[in-house]
Amino acid sequence: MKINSVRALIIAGFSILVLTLIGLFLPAILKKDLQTHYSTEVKLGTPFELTDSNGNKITESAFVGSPAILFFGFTHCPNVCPIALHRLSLLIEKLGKDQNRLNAYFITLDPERDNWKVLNNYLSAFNNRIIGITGESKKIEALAKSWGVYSKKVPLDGGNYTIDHTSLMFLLKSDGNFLKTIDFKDDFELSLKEIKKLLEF
Amino acid sequence: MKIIRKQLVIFFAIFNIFITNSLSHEYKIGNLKILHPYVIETPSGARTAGGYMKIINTGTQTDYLSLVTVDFTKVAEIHEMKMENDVMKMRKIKGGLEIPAKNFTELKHTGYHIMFTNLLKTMIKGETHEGTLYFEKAGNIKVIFTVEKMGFKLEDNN
Repeated sequence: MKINSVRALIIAGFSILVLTLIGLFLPAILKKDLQTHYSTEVKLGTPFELTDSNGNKITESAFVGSPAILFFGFTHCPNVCPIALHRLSLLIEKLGKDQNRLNAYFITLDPERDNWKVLNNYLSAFNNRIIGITGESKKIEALAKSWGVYSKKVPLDGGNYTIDHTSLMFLLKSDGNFLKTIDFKDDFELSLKEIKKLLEF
Repeated sequence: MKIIRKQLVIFFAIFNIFITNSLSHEYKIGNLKILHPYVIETPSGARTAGGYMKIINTGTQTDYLSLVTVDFTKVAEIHEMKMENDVMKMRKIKGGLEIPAKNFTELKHTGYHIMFTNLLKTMIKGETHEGTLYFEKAGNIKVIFTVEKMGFKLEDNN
């Protein structure tokens, strides 16, 4: 009986020691992990040659020179894309004169249906700083993939389809490098702050 | 003079009620109350629009919205939009949209909505369109879909 209690005490003491050690080192381990995942120098994007919504050739150099915002979507999208583009338009308008220093791109994930003329027509409902990008499906796929954008066709009745897709907006510094993402569901003023901050890069 | 003033006050009071009512419209069928069916104006050339409303069930039995028809397209499906890890996913609801007893279901921009595709025309702010809602138990009812400006949300206006 007595030996058992002593053994129990030793086990308990040892457990406490182990847990304390884990407790001491866990934040350091987690922090290290976070740092590697959220580095500010994430390399996203890839060179490309596509068509903009004015029918002109566009390449990755369009993302360099001024800060830019990228949003991937498609014109048959009933909710998220028009909401996001509407919000982006309002955000751009709030920048006043500074909006001339910002580029914004709507990259279609549905190039089969969204040729540059369709994009041009569609985008006329939004702020005119938002330029569409379309082109060959394979090239679009490669571009979306390079930004970590998920997209998947989902069939609907009557041969129609919709597309599940990442709905984040990517903020790019004037050197073309990724800064951070904002979400169309974020607080409007917060997003505005982020974009104003972006203009400093 | 006094009488005329009184009449004017009454007139404006009635006029006011009329104006506020026309901002949001509602329908009743059986135990269901349908608040403000609407679509959002569409960018020119868009082939898709979302349909929204709030449906309140005051009864003790669950009902289902099984079908919607409108005069601006032949294709109307009831969908659910979900956000999963920043990915927008849309799925057709099978077996009708549930309107729970003594509760309500809201069709809104990020959630359930009616997905109108193959639009025969652009949705223009201020215009109205006829439609019919088919409920499993309550039956069908004709409604008017108003076209609201981009950014409009029923939940902000209620």
